[in-house]
Amino acid sequence: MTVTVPIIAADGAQSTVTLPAPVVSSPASGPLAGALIDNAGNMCWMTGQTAGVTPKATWDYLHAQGVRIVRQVLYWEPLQPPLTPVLDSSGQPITATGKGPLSSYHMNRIATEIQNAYASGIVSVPVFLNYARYRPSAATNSASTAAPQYVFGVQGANYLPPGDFVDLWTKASVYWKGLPGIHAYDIMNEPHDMPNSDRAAAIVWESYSQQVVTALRAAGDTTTIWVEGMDFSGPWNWATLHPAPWINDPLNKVVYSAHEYTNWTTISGSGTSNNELRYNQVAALQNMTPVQMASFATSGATSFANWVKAHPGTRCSLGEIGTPSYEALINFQKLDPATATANATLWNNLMSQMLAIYAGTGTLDAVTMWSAQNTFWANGVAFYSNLGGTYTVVGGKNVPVVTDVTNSNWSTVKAIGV
Amino acid sequence: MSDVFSVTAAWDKASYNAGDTITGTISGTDVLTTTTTTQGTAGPLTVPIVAADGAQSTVTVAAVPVTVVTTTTLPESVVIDTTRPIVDSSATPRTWTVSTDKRSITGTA
Repeated sequence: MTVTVPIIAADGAQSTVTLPAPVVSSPASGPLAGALIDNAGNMCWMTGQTAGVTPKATWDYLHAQGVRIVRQVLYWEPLQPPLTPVLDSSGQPITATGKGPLSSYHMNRIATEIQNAYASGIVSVPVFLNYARYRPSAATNSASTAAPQYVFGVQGANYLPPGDFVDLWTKASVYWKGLPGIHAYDIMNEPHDMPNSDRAAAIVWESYSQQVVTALRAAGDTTTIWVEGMDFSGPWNWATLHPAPWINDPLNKVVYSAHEYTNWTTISGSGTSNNELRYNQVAALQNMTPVQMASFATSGATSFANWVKAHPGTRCSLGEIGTPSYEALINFQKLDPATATANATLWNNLMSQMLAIYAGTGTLDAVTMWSAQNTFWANGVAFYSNLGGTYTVVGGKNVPVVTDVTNSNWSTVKAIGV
Repeated sequence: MSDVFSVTAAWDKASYNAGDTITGTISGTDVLTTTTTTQGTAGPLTVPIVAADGAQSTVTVAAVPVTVVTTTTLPESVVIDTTRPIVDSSATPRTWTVSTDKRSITGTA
């Protein structure tokens, strides 16, 4: 990729001069994902706050650590509290959410949060952490998994129609369209089990996501849109579930976003365990040798990257990625420092390999790490200092790893910065 | 007359963060080489000669045609040609703006 500039001499002679494509390392190398509104409407998982907004000092601190982009993680339910579903004659919802108004209280808080982050030099990607679902009880109960659970494309009484998804985004767009500090929209986190995570479900998801993109463009919203893939947006079977890029965007501003973790009892696109594991443990749990495990991890990245490269013009992002950290190995595995160091070094090496593969697509829009305080996925504890070492990542830059977070709000949250 | 461009271009930074202004500046010149040819003659020449005993005479060399070739080089300033497009071959081409002095382009990272 190059930029070719036409030039002309005083006598009218013409030529050209060619530059290599400029290296844009951020937000492609700015990590960190934070949760902004939890199920109960509480603000800011990542700071542990339950009211107000994240202090600007926190954003300033993160920026000083090199953070340039965050996924602002939201729940659908508290933002659009449930109304009575409207059913058709067969009892299937025409709308499961009731298509009520968005909470102006929360939406204004989110806008303030996004603007505060931006004032500190950090751009945001709002995302709904809903997995293609809407749970009315989750609007008020952060721990609720109670029925009903409406799901995209699942026919019957628990049907969550595309119109509800479109309604959510067209209403959110009213608040966010043109808002400085928004880098992109990530329209839905990790769709899965609709009712299966197969090609049939992927086709349904392709339709839902296309309808949102179409609606946003029709509303004049020109924001870049991240679209995740079926089955937790994992990279391994992306090309199988989605044989080709599916979004038709008149603005060509769609980014396909993958998630990849290697630190759990299962290696997948989503953090699903509450444990932090030694390198060899993960391999053993997968019935693999450590070499085989590393090969499997990089094979996912490679498969997705090849899919991107096979379709010229396709852009991508890495919305979540994680490996265990040095501190997690110390704190949860109770390893001695030497053993933890050896394990963390292995994880660092693997992380570097994975990131380099994604960066090798040449169209990587951003990398955001999952990081939040109150769970044990790849958040909070997972992003400790990792030895204070460096990753070689997007744009060939050496990325220093944050070694400490002194802000009390971030006592258990560490991040990897540019 | 020939033009030999000796022009390079460079970005102002090794890398950029999203939202940064990217500036690429050209530098160098075009060397204009001009050749002129003049036709003329040399001679005829009359050369005095003298023998060992002191006797004198002359010998005449006939005139010959002469071609004189003169080459001059002149460095010329070079600017960005705004009548032709900037070609950005990246997957997501940027919008590039040419500076007033036509020596640089700017875009957004």
